[in-house]
Amino acid sequence: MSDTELMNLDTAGFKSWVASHDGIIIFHKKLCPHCKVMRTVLAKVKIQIPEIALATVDSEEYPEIMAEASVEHVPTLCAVKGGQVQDRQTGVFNPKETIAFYKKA
Amino acid sequence: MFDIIIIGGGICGMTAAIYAARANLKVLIVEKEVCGGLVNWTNTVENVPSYPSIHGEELMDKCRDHVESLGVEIEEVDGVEDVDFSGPLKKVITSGGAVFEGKAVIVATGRRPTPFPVQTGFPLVHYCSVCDGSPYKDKDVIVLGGGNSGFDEALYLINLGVKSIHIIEIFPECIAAASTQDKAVQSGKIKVSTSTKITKVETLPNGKAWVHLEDGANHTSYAEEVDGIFCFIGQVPNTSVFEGVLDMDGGYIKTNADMETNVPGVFAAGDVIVKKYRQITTAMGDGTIAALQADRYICG
Ligand SMILES: Cc1cc2nc3c(=O)[nH]c(=O)nc-3n(C[C@H](O)[C@H](O)[C@H](O)COP(=O)(O)OP(=O)(O)OC[C@H]3O[C@@H](n4cnc5c(N)ncnc54)[C@H](O)[C@@H]3O)c2cc1C
Repeated sequence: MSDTELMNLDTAGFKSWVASHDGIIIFHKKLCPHCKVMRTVLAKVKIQIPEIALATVDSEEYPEIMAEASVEHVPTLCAVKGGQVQDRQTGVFNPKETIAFYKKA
Repeated sequence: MFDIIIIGGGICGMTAAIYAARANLKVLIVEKEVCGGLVNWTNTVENVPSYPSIHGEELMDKCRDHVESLGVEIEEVDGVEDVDFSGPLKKVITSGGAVFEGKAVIVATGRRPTPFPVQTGFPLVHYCSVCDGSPYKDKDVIVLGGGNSGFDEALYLINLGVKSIHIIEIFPECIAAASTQDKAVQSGKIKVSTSTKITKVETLPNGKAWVHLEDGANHTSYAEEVDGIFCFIGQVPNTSVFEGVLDMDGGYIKTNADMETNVPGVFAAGDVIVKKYRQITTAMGDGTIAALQADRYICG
């Protein structure tokens, strides 16, 4: 899965995505090495859990979504379940740790 | 089974992969994070022939596309955790549990940033201003390290709107390029203290840090409050996996001029080997030699 296969959310898209999906949203930005690692990790997670929904928010384009989701740093993963952001995790994690974070949320 | 397994997908590993793939060898790159290595972290690269100025990540994306176009298999976000180089077939074991076998191995694992040298529970110690700089708009930070990375990153943080930066350098002089140091001083927001070290970092109830400093030249100690700390104090080689297997000097792998290590069929190249100059072009040169020599080793 390439970067382009992750759905990019805008402000309205964020709200409706959270309401209608169970999955992970990555807050990231372009030309950020840690973000690049985590997008690749998510691609691996998707192979292991094909039903998981994935989306991205560009922190530079949509700072207001960052504030709404209480996210300060990138990359941050938000685990979304039952119409809500259940948990957040900032930094670099391997696929196993990322799956564990999502399952626990 | 692969002809060549390349451990580390930085510029060195990717260059080796291009040469090996063009020799019709079956090639695998195993990369702990994502291809590109340290160059991904460099904002502006200005010394790679044919690119007067390019962002490091953009350069590495182009390189990765080239590697992929040649049919090289790439295993990313899966680091090598163990190796068995004892037999004619070399085994490489990853943290994800995969075991790969190859006729030859090229070690191109490069280096990583030296960790912050003071034990502290303060959570806001960073190694990447692009990733972590934004929340520090209008705030005060310390940058540890007066080398090129320390000054470059400090200037980047100033561009993000950081209010003040105190660069701490343990040696009597900063080794960053004079032009970069001038730019920093001209910004009016960067203060530099040499012969100074951080001795202790305490977390304050307001979430900020109380940083204790020791000025070795004037034999004085003082402390200041900052919002965050950025650490850029050099690099250490990624060689722990090869300890006791490959000959090393100061943690760096020893090779001859053909990039051969002490183990036949195992080559090492790039920043991870004992050498004087560590640059993109020198890593490319090493990767080239390692791949050509590995091809000769395999084909006899
Ligand atoms: C701040 C900074 C700025 C720089 N700017 C320039 C510049 O402008 N121009 C220039 O020419 N040079 C520059 N350099 C130097 C240049 O980045 C290096 O010389 C070059 O990246 C070395 O390439 P490499 O492939 O040997 O190592 P690296 O780039 O370090 O790549 C090694 C790769 O191996 C991977 N790895 C490590 N351990 C394992 C493992 N166990 N399993 C699998 N994979 C592993 C790493 O994740 C990494 O991707 C700069 C260096 C720094 C630190």
